[in-house]
Amino acid sequence: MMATMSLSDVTAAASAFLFQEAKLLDDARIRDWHALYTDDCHYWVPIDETRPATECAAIINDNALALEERIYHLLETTFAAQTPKSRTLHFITNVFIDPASGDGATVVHSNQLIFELRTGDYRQVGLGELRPIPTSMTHELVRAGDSFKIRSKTIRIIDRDMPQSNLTFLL
Amino acid sequence: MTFVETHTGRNDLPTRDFSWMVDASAKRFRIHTQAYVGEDVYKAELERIFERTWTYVAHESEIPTPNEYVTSYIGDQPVIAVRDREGVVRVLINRCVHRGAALCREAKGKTRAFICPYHGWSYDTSGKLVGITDRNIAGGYDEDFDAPEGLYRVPKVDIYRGFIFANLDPDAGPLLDHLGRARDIIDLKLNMSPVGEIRLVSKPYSVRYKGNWKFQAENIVDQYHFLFVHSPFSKLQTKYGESTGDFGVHKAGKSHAERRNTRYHGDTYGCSQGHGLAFQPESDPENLKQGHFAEHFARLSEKYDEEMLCRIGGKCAAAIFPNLGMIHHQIRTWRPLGPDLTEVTVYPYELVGLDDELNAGMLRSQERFYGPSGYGMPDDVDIFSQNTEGLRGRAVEWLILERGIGSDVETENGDFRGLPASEACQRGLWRKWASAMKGIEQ
Ligand code: FES
Ligand SMILES: [Fe+2]
Repeated sequence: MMATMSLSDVTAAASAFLFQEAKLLDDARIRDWHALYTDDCHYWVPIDETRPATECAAIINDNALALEERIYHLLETTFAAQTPKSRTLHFITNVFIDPASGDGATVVHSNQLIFELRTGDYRQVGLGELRPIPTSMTHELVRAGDSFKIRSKTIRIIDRDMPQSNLTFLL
Repeated sequence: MTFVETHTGRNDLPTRDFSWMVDASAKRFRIHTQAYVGEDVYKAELERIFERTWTYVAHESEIPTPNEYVTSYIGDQPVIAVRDREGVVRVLINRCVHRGAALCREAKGKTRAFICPYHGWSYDTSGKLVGITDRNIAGGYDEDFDAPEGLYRVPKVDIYRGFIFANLDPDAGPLLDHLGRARDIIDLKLNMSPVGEIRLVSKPYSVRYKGNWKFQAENIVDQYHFLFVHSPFSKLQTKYGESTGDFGVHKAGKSHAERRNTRYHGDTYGCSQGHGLAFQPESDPENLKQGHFAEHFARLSEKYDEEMLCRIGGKCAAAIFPNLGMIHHQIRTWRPLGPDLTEVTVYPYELVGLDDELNAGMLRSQERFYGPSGYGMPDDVDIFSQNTEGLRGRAVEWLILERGIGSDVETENGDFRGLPASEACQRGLWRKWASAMKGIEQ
């Protein structure tokens, strides 16, 4: 079906999908967000994407089961780094389809500027600070009915190899 | 001007005694709020602790061949740790001795010379000044110009099993005396490798938190907090166990009591040099015959007796005063950036000679707990901000560090051995802190 669509139609469909994904994150609809992922997904926040995982640690390197654990951690446990919780807002630009996209998947690049804020008593140390997180992302999307599912999401934070603060929410 | 100038003391703050901030006696051990938040305390710490103690600067595996360097800090002073052309490890202040520009702007590299970008003076990798630009032209330097020998060499540099330590105090005693019992932890960790070596291969994790550096030094060997701050992690452990990459490192336990038994086991030490050490040897040697490392331990058993094997195969952690931590398969350093700002860097290491699969497995295990998105470390650092917030309530003057004080036993070398549920480790840090912060005799 994708093969019959023009590049601008695919770009429009992929963009709309990214906006929808971001909206679920920003609305904290975590289970609905998780449902966008395939059973063999990879959710990856590298420190250095050029190095193999066998020798270099990542900020996040989740296969499908590990991502399930991350969702469980967020929804079913209470932990200090998300008590109180973060609020996010995603701004998405520079969306384009990777020309190397094969038939099986559509590879979409985007730049996403995420603003994050810990809620709670904003007067306290560590809370209430508005934090910009500039990223470039790559989504590998596979067709599911008349929409997509995410087979992989790679998030390259601009300062990924430099000190970070709390990144315990979904990006 | 020689490589190491005589210390004139002109940088020193006026002498002031801060040691009263540790109120310690047989049954009492309390720390004054100001010891964590005071700007004056922080400045004095840089001079009296970081500039007069052996601090960890780098690991040899980061600079394996001549002319390789990494940058680092001693307290807040920038340094370059470099292996010179002859293979000698030098620690140099990252500052051109002409008018002060920083020389290295990359954190890591290989070079035959350090060339100052400001006026072009050049230095070889031993720090020796090898070129002054336009030296003899009119308006240049006279024949009898008192040219410096080179970059300031940190006067004391020593290496223990690949760990490079440096000390700005030219009169400092030997590194081994400073390490004392902390060597046992380094040895146990490194002896997991069949050749007794580690290598820093992965990029490190780095986080900054709004809190004092001593929160991290206290926390890395704090068994007490684990059961509370990390109880969500234990819940994950109960549900997911090994399946998401734990690699046999953490044992859950279904109840608080069960987890307490796993955690509160072994010995802890508060050392006279300020180190906190936690030893949790494997209590059942049979356990070493199962799991990912079974074959590895079988091979190690040719080298070590059963007791030592249980010590190597168990768990241990250290806060080596003032800036080095060891836990899991990582070297951790913390760098003070102010009384209420600290940078922590976690270097997962590889055990040399271990199967790639095992090294990769330990990397996944660390990914799960550490780093800014892990299921453990972000909670610790969030608590550190919470401490900073709480300590604004300075109407409450003292923090209480008396847990298990009655069970501390002083050993023959002046260390205190404590029970794992106690705060013996933290008391070690503060005893040393108090003696260092007494004030400099003039
Ligand atoms: S400051 Fe380096 S050459 Fe002048
Ligand atoms: Fe912790």
